[in-house]
Amino acid sequence: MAEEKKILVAEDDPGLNRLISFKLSREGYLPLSVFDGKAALQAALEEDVEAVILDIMMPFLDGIQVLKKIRASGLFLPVIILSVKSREDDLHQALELGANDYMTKPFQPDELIEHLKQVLGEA
Amino acid sequence: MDPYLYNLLIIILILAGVILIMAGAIVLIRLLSARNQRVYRQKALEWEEIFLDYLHSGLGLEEACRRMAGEKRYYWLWRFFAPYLEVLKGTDFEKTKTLCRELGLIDHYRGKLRRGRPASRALAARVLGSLQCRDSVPEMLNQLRNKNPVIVQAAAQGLARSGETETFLPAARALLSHTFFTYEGVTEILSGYGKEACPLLQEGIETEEEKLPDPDHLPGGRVPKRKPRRGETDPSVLVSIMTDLLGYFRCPGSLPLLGRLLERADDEITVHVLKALLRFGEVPPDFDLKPYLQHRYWVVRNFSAKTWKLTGDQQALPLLEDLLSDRNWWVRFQAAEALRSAGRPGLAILEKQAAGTDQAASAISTYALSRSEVKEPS
Repeated sequence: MAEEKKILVAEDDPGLNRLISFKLSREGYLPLSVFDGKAALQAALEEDVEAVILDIMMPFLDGIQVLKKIRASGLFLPVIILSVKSREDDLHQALELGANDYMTKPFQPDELIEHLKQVLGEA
Repeated sequence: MDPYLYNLLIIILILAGVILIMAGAIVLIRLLSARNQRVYRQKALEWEEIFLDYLHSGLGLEEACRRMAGEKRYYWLWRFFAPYLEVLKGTDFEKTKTLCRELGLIDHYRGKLRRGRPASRALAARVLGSLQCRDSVPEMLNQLRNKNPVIVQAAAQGLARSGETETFLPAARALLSHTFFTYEGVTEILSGYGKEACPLLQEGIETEEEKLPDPDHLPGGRVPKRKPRRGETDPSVLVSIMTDLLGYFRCPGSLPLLGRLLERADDEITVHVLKALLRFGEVPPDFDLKPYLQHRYWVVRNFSAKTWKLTGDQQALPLLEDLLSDRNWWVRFQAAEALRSAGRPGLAILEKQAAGTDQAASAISTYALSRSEVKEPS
């Protein structure tokens, strides 16, 4: 069982956000849910999170902008990008900006946990 | 009382009564709708707890069904499950589908697809597609022949989501001949088939290519414009859509096929090949951009200027310079952007044209230079 590491879940779809958070709780993590880009940036900078699960399409600030600002602030915590398949260009851009990993929707929450463990060095 | 005033008063009273009744009806509908939303949100929260327990905490199918089955508003159930079906795959998707089946969602919407009103049929096609309900594919194919374009669109969307790639061509034909979508709209719907459709797209293009006129025997060297009859699909349009999708999915091994399509001399196909190359981020071997930069059709000139950055062909720079005076603003803009991306030689051309006498070329060059972030080496 993993330690209670705080994981930021930035996903604007409430159902998916709760699904990921539920799965993270079951795996022994402490999920912190936010539903838009501004809140995601604020939480990433102010909360003591160990990793970020970041959706690309979000209101106010998209995931790419959030990632750019996180990296510009000197924070190098692991970031996993969530995106739909049709936005592969965004994925490439996110990886260039320093995202550690990505997942395309649809996905299995179990896979996401595996990716998270990898970027946290727990796998 | 004056009969004229009396009649006027009666009319005003009747109108006031009608307005009051309508306003009352609107308020009532809004109240009922707000109440329904509240009840749905409450239900969704209850269902979410059950569903997540079912999905990840070992709650059995029977128990999950028992706790969710009280509600027979299938639309609410669908509204609840739709976002999950959109993002889940593998065993989680299958478990969700099984639960939907046990709750009667699939049977309900299969009935609606066969016998419902147009709006219900359209919804049913989307629901059954999202549930990847293969048993419903024959009925969805049947709905592609419906006279109502909304149903045709929904059936095509449902088929695309169903993952049955062999339904691609009938769905594409139906969308092109029985609905009013733009190419982009059709491409967007058909993209639901996913990358798995790549081999089928390549085969489909090869099959449709045989129906295209022989490029060596074209009157005036160009494909004549022909308006297809209702229900008929122009093979050139179908090839264009499939070419778009090859680019959309970056289907591996497609570059030689795209190179061959350029030889078709079909303006529409050429545009879509250039768009696809931009998505691929590379060009076929031995690709020569220069004829397309001088093409008679402005959309081809526009996309070929955009494609220049993939080739970096220095010999094409004079042609890009000519395009700065093109009669179409978009072509001038893309040529200027290409020159801006060409580094020092391109910037030198823009500077020369900015100071020149051709007003159009000067304006677009000045604009491009103002956007340029390239600094002179000190």
